[in-house]
Amino acid sequence: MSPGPVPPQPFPPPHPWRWQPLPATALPPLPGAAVARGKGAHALLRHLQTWFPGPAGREEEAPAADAPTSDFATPNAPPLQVVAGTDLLVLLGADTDLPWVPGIAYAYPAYPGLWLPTAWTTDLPPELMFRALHARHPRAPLLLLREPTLLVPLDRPLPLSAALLTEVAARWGLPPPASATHTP
Amino acid sequence: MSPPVSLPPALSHPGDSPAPSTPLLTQAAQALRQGIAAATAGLVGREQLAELIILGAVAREHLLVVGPPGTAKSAVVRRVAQALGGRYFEYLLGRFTEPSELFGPVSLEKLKQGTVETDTTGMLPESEIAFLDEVFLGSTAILNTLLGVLNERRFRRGHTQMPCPLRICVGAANGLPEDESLAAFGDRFLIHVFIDPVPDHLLDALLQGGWQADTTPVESSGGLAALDTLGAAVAQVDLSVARPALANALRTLRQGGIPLSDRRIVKAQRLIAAATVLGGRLQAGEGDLWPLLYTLPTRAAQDSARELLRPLLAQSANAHLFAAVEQVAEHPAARVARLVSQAQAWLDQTPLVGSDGQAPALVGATAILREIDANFPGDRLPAALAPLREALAGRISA
Repeated sequence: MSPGPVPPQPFPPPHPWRWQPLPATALPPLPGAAVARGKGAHALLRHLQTWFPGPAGREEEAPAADAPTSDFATPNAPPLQVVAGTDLLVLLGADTDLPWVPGIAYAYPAYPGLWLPTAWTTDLPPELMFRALHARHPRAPLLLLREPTLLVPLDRPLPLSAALLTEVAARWGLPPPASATHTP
Repeated sequence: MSPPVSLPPALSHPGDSPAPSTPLLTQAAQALRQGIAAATAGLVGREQLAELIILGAVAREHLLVVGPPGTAKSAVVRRVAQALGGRYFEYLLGRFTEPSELFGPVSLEKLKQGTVETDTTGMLPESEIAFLDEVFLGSTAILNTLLGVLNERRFRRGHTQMPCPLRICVGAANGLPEDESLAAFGDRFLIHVFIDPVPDHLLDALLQGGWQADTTPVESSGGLAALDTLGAAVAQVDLSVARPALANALRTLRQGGIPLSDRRIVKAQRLIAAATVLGGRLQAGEGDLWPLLYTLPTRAAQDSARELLRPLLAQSANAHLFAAVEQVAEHPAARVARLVSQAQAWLDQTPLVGSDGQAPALVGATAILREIDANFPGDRLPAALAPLREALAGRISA
């Protein structure tokens, strides 16, 4: 007699974990992402809009579907990828291309599939953290933010472009910028 | 192979001149720093290699770079050579490469007169910076002749004997040789550096940077004179303070099962002295011992030594070589020291945006702020950096 179907196994109970700063003797890793939340996200968005010459965000500036990637379409902007949420903006790219505005934070790939804030880690190994998080949120990579703790999937970034910034600003209810100048 | 781009200046000899002043050393080191920045613009993650080329050139020691194909090894060396303005020779060796392809053909005119001489015009013996890719594939004849060029900076072949103006030879390979004779040849390269492909999240930057690097020629900053100024000062560096710490470090390595040949131990002092003059000083301290790590021949040995010598290497610092030091020190103090120096340098630049609308200082200041915030968020900002960060942020906001 063959055994019956195995009932679905529940996820193991959550394991308590804590944020902890990197040891004082550890060298923080290079950032691969810039993260801004709340008013900081708005400030970052405004800053990014200054990277695009001319009236930023006009619909006619939106790249065609088969247009080349944003670095060639907008030669003044670095090749960054964007993930946006409600009052949340994440930019992915080389550390040398990431912008700075007051209140911005940075993140790095602590493990393939899991990004953490630079200078912070978790008391559980990042590999275990990723496996546990990925079991509940089957997308990757994931960005784990602190204060407050927030999980952001990074698997669908879009190339940075003026049109994208305009769309994000509209969803956030921000008025169009008064003027735009290029100060990367 | 690149054609010669300038006439070779006369080689300087360490004993010929009095000790240069510290400001002169600093000025020369700053010129080389600018050369490094120009050479690595657009080359993602290759600052360490460029800095070590400069370190080796000042010390008159050679460098072996080990890494997979396509990791911009040759591009870095070529661009550093362009930035320095020296005569550059580059060749990809193969199993069937003839010695004449590196050293030049036999002169038929001289052969008619009964002597076997080599026409070295534009070839390796006349180069000031050389890059030999797949260096271990060279034949015995090539490697034997190379030994003379590398060790004694003399080219000997047939009736030809000539001094070589070579500042540094960079050899490249995909891996270290297992053959003992080839390993002995590899031992002539005092600096061993291991590089990897850029990580996934830097691929976009790699694409754009590579495009920029391919289309933007490096302007020569005439760094060869600065190189010779510092090279001449190497022999005048006082190692009396650093030497006992170096001996202790070597004992620690031996106890940890990481032996270093006597030749490399002695020659490591040249690298330490070169690091000292590149820091603008003539007195070496414990913070100048970091090049020792790069003299260890294998990646495993370097990784183990980094752990064994962690307390000592944490003191590493250099005012003009940043990436190479940080790779060794792996300690925030080294990063703080660099950030303080760079932040002050950017603050000294007035205004951040020039009258022509160009804003390299603004970009540089932004980069410093980004690095400060990424490394030292919130209440962990070092006291030495806090006022500089505030000043930079104020300047940018203004």
